Amino acid sequence: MEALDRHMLSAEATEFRRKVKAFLSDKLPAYIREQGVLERMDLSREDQQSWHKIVRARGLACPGWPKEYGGAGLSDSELYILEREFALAGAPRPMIYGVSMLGPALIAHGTADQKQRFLPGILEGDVFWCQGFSEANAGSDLASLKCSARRDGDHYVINGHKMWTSEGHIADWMFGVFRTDSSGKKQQGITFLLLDMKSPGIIVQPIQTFDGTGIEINQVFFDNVRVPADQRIGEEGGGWEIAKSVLTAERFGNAEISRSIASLQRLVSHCREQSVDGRRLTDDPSIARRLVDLDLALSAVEQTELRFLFRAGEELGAEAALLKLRGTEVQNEILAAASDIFGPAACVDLDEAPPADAPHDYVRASYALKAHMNYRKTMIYGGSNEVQRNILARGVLGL
Amino acid sequence: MIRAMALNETDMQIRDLVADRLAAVPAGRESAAATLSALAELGVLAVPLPETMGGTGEGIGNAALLLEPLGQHASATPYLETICVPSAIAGFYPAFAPLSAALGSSAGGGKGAVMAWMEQGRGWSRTPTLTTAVEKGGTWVVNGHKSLVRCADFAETFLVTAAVKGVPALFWLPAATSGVSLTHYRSADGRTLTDIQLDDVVLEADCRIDDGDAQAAIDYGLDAGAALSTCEAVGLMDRCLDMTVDYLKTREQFGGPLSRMQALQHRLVEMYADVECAWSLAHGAACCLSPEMPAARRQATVSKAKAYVGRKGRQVALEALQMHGAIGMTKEYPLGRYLQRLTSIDRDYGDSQWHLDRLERALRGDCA
Repeated sequence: MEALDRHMLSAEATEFRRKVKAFLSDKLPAYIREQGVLERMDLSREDQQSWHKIVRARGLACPGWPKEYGGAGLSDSELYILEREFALAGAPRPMIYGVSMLGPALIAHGTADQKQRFLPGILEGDVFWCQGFSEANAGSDLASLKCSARRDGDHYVINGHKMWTSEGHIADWMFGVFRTDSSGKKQQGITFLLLDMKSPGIIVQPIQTFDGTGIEINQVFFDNVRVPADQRIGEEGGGWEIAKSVLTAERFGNAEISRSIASLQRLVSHCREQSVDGRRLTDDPSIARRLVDLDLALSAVEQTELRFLFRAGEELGAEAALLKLRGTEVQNEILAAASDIFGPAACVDLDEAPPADAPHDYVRASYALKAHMNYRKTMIYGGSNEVQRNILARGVLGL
Repeated sequence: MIRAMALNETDMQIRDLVADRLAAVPAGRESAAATLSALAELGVLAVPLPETMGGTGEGIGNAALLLEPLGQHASATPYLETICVPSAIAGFYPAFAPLSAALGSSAGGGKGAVMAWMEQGRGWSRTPTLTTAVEKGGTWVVNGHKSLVRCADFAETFLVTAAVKGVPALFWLPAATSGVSLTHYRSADGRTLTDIQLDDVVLEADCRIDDGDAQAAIDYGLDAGAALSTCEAVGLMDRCLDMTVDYLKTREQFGGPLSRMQALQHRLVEMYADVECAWSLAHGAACCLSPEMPAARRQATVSKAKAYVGRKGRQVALEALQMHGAIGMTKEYPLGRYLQRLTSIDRDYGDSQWHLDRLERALRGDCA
């Protein structure tokens, strides 16, 4: 029998890991790293873009794309190592809507013209994308979506609205699914379109969340928005399969294991170094047990992800849903533990510019609480964890 | 059913061979000997042993290929006790011929040697204090007590841990030696547990197996037992899940099968997720037994697997029982055996609490 992480320990893998670590310690700007360490999700467009360009200059942007499209063409093992090292260093995630979601869908389903038109903007980090999937009445039950696209000559005309659109307020373009036909089954009649967010008739309305972080999500209203038909990916009515493939890619990323490992490592270091009232935090039996339990739960899903990613071959389907389920559960437990362990200052609500003399403890604790609240979303988005359970019940257990 | 196992073709062949053979052996508390001899006929008992002894030569972790199907079958065999743990000890002392001979006998389906390490009132401590050995005129005189030795009914010899001037040592102690008295108990999962009283037991000088301090070997042997017990547990857990899914699909209440109820479906999914994760950790624990693995990393990997599987194994079996309802409480229905076995496995080679404590010591940076 072979250990699950055996190929991560090969000479090539070790050398690749060393290069990535060196790149990160050289090039990751401290002001960006600091935001990652504080678990901040609401990176500004400028910060996301400048980091993307640094990564691009090193040839590591769009790491999973084939080289012919300008990607890094990394192997699965290299992608895994890259993601882990970025997280451990506190680097931001890739700009997922363009890089991780639309890019692969375009490469798989787009025409040559569409690839040539849209991939370079993503690769260079110049065009920001958002995802127009969810609606007020089509969240976990995405196929019930109603936002309509009516064919009118060479155009589609969109009317309706999209909801919970992450980064809609900073995006240049949207990829989304729209209803072109409502006569058949609800999964039919869905069409995948790309549209310019500056098109006349679009109104973006930010939604303020309760957690005290900056704006992340929006409502987008469409009033007779005209979209050229050559911005349709795949066939008219064939959007559901493309959307599903985009969501499946999302489900792997959504396990968030690398970020959880980084968060837990930081929390453990904190507990080893800090004392409260003369007692080292790790000498508090209830804290030590809590940390050990978190590590246990995280290892369980980490090892299962390794197995599913690298040993499953073609046979893996619905099983992947368990990674999102268990991964986001443990992620939320870790962040809740951090906000508890960082102590009383967690109830301080610091805004973008905390007082210059605010103790670092306050800043860390305040952001820990924000992160604890903010990340509840990971159990809700990408198909809520209840939907993941339904997928597993039907797809794996045959219920 | 566990999906996408990380096993190569040869591994899968061994595993499937064992599973097929076990299907023809009656399961149950009385069938341990029959199960062993059926597997001995196939020649697979030796799988974790060195190639010179008929094994695959890939290390004792490969015992998982037998243990998981054994778990599926809920056979409480002494495989872990007579082959796996002694084989781990033998790796430390390859020149100690009687141990190799005992392993050969066990691999052929006969009696062998089991480790006797627990002491009454000392929980899961791996360091002997109540059993002592003193050198006297070229022999060893052993006194003390070993408690709840697993599967002694399949052993002719005990690997006894004893303190020599306060330092842990390992002795080769034939059961028939004068001064040895045995008291047998039955465990809830149908195994034999034996207390060994040692009164002035005189052993030849060459019955001491170690060369000065056996703690590392004892730790490794017991870690091997802990790690591989999780592989058996995963088989048990997996069957609990399958039994429950099948039962709920056929059990009609309120005008339809119970499997239509979303509340029950989601509980089954929780069981499923735990079983998959348990498989991953158990596989990792079996693989980390390779001799090159640094002890600290091995201990962390094994303890994580043992604590996770110990708790989740019992939880999965209890959930299975709850969802079966009254039928699951009967002796005739097999589920109870799975629950008893999983509960017993949590109490072998250190329970969940002991392994969590060891992880906590590592977290604090204390010595393990």
